[in-house]
Amino acid sequence: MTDAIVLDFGIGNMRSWERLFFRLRTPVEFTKDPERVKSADKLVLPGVGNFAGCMDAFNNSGLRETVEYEVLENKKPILGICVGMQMLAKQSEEGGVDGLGWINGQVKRLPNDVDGQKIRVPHVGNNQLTECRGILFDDIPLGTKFYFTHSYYMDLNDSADSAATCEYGIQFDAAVMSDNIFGCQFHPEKSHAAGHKLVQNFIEKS
Amino acid sequence: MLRTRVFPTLLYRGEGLVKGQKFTNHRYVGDVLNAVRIYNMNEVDELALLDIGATEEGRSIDVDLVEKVATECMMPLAAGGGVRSLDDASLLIDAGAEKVVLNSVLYENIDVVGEIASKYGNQSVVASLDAKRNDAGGYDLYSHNATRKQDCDLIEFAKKCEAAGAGEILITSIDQEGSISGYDLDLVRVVASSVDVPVIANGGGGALDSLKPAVDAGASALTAGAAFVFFGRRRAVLINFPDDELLEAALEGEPA
Repeated sequence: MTDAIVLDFGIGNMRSWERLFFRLRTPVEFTKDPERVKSADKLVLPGVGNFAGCMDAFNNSGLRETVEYEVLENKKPILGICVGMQMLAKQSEEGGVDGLGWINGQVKRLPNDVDGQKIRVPHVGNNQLTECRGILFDDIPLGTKFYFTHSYYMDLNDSADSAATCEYGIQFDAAVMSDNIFGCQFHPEKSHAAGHKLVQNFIEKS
Repeated sequence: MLRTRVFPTLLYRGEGLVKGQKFTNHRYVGDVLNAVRIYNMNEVDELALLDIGATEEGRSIDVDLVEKVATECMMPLAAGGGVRSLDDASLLIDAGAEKVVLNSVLYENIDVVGEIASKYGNQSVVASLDAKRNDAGGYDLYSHNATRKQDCDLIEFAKKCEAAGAGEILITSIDQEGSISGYDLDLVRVVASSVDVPVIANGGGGALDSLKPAVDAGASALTAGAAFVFFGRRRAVLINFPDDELLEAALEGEPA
């Protein structure tokens, strides 16, 4: 049985993860304990709200060093969600602070105006992916809708790291994938059956 | 393509869900968890739960209630009713709500919007404005379940909420509320054209033919109560939600 943990650094909505894993019949734990990070098979890095606030909380959680070692040296699979995905980047315009730097990209604000057309930010709602690939999207058809709620997006320097794209005023990277490091901008835990499938793919195939 | 969100707004008072018209004559329409399970099966985009007794009773929406609903909900949950502070909001978000809905407090302490937004992000704060048409052809804002008229301009106030950090504006027509006779399109237009954040239309909508006009008026999302809890002209209680294909067609403007 896969042993998954959700990193609990005081950020993010743990209830929704609890019920998602319950529905997947996968045991899950929410932990601040570095020892559990070492023993777990899969890590989930949640994140909501402000980038700088999330980085701050993670840096002060006592988890970063262990997570970094497990992910970079032991190649333990990790899935970052929403701001948790953005945290994988080198830096963010939001607060102007550094991210973890595990994915070669930066986080930028969605434009309010594209070719004179007003784009309402935040981008909220179920949006279709315009491209998707890799194990996260096994058995998830292109065009499937996922729930987004964000004002900032990941701009990858290397398109080889893109696992999915989506369009909202501009095309942006909706999911990333680099070796054992995964992330999605949307919320699988709020995306009904398709979101559950994605997390199941991460658990079973990463 | 981003699908326009269509979702139920459930009103809670006492021990269960209620619904009325023009903010009065509420009657019991059922158990909240039962309703959530039905909306789960319909894969609705979001759910809003507002405790309409909370402000009056000087409290915030019950945290245990929000936790129970959030645990059942497979979609994002917005919770509101009597939320007055960052602490109130934190309790609801910790209980599993994705967003908090602020209404009466906006007129007394707009700073709370920024406090919540800087901790949880502006996507987590919904500013809820209740507006009523006046004799001069404009709109007046009301708080406290449409019982207290506020002396401020609708457009200015919507902009003020946006500047304070609200990620969405929920605009409710007091005149249309509960009527299932269509959204107040002028109201939607006025608010949507004055802000850059998404605007959620509420009050009178929910029937399939009400959706496209509100989107054309500038709404980014559409919510309704009566249309999703009542059925037929006699308003028999029936928790319901249109099929995905019907919704899609209605949003495209195809006749039902």
